[in-house]
Amino acid sequence: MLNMLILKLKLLKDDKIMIIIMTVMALVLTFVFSSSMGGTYKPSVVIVDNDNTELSEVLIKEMKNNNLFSSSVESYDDAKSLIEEGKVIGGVLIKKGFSESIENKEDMNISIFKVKDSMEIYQLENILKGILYKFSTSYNTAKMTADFIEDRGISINREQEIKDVYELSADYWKYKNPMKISSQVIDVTNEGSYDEIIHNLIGFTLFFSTFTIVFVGGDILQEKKQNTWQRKLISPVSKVSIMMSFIIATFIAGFAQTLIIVLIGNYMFGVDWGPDIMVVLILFAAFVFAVTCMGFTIAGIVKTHEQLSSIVPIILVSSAMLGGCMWPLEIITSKPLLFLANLTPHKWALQTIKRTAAFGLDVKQVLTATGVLIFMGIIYLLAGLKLAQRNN
Amino acid sequence: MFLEIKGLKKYFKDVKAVDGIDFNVKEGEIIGLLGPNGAGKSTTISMISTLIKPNSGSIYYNGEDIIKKPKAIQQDLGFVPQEVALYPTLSGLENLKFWGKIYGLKGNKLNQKIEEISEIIGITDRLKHKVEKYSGGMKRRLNIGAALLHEPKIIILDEPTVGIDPQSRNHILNSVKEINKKGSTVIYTTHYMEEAETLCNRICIMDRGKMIASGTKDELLDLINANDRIELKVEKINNSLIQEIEKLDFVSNVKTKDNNIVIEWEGKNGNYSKLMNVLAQEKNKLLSMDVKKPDLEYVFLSLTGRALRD
Ligand SMILES: Nc1ncnc2c1ncn2[C@@H]1O[C@H](COP(=O)(O)OP(=O)(O)OP(=O)(O)O)[C@@H](O)[C@H]1O
Ligand SMILES: [Mg+2]
Repeated sequence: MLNMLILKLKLLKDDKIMIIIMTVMALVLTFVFSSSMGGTYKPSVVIVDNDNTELSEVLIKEMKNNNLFSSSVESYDDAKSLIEEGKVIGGVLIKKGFSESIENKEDMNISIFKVKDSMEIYQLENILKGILYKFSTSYNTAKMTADFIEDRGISINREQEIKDVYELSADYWKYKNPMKISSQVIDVTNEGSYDEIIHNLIGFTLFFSTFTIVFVGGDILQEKKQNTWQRKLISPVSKVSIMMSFIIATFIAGFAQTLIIVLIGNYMFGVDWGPDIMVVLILFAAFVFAVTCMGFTIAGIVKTHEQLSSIVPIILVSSAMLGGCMWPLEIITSKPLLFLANLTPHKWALQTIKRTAAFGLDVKQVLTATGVLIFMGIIYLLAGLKLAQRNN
Repeated sequence: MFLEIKGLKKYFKDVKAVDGIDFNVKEGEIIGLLGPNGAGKSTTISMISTLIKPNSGSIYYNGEDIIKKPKAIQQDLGFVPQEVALYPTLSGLENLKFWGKIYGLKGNKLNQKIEEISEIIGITDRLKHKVEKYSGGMKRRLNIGAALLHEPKIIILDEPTVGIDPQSRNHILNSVKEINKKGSTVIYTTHYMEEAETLCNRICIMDRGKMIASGTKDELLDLINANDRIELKVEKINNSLIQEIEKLDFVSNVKTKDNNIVIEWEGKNGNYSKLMNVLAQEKNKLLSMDVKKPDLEYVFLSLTGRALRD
């Protein structure tokens, strides 16, 4: 058994080109899809500064640092016509007295102008709120610090001190964002593109790993053709261990591929797999198991490697589509399609891995999905064994 | 009895690949299964090797029913399939190691056997190379070697010499003899009657799923009362010539085939001139003459009315 397993692993070198292509394809397509659909689209906004103080300039700097919108400073009239012409989605008006309103902790003299309400305007409002919150808190912290030091009778350059402390405080926030409101806002607005990256990455990982798995598993047909299969069958080793060596080797190839992508996803795309990466890996493993067994069944149905090559893409592409690897199932309304989705291993793996990454599910919370995947695998395995028996 | 086969049948849908055959194999002999393409040789030995199950009949190995208990023969069996069954992307050495391990060899014993066997099959200097780079003859030799490592008590070879150069062929035939001398019983299938004649102690002739005759070469020749034959090619064949030849007392049978006359006779010295005299009397001209000793080809022809090879 071990001997046969080692041999199968050795023979994986024959499939290495395919495995590499499938791994790279998953990554490349994730990259292409994520950058063409999300991420690069930035709505433009204009900023009108009627306050013209040092404080308003700091605020503008903060706005420009935000990378979800591209903003430019215009005069009031220019801004108005830009908005009316629809060249920008809206504007931020820093009214005269903004600086004082911050100093006096009054309502801030700032408003948003827009033609109509939209998702983007809503996002802009949220972001502005977040920035202002952060801005005013940092500014007030800085001022308080300066007051505090002066109260102790230490002479300082007040202006410089406020600036330094402000920057320190803002810097700190840049990484931590401790305030509930702003962090929530940032999360919501970020979700669009981040969600897409992670969905694509998981989807393509699942999709391309199925090719590796089914074709590596399809080597059973190759072995039948080169007669080594028959030669093993008449040897004293049991049929079950011959098949298990195939299944285990296939599983290892498929899992290695997903493992590599999970790690690259982490380092290359900045994907956060949640607090416990093991949970994600368990789900991927259960998926690879289900598909390995599915491949085993397919190899029992078709007779030659050529047949396998022609029917496998059809099966794998359609099940990946149904299972939501190509686009999120949330956009599908057809009941029969959603029902069929439940029959694909892809759906169970994809949704649960995505949720694990987003909400940090633990092992117990993914038990159902893991169970379903393993159950599917066992059903396929039994079917495959039945077919193998019949073929004899 | 070492190996006992009774009433063995295997049908593939409407093809009666093996249609009720009986034969025995004695320990230590080389037994040949001779038959044309599609005779059912491979199907027969596939059943003996436990690869496929017969529709009916029995196979006993050392008294054990191997259809019910395949394990009883598997460890003792070395099977050389008709088609090369090796991993082409691995080296010869890796292949031998793998097949040796499958049969439970390991460590020193394995290495020692690999050394010994690669010597016998003559691939020692190419062991490290990938099998896909081997010539057809070398692949076939390695294919045999892979079945010999575990010192099987019984070795089945399925047409091991088809489509290879004469040198490799001789090498293989010698290897088979050597293995047999070391104590293995050999079942050798072939459609080359020369191979069966020179190699085998006993020969079973198969055709269309049936075992049509079996025995030693001499027994088989006796079976058909085979005489020597002479084949004459003459300018023209006419009835009076045939009649005159039939009158000769040492001639037992005369047949015509195209422009040839096939004569069964007692091929002694004096008889040649008597035959030539007849030709001269009939004013016929001899173009060529071919003397044939009876062989298995002829046995097959007599029993089936067809030639062994197409
Ligand atoms: N798996 C199979 N399915 C259907 N028919 C088969 C199968 N195996 C063999 N046959 C048929 O059974 C008959 C006997 O085949 P077999 O391979 O035993 O002949 P053979 O004597 O080994 O011939 P050859 O010298 O060509 O190897 C042939 O007619 C063949 O077509
Ligand atoms: Mg054959």
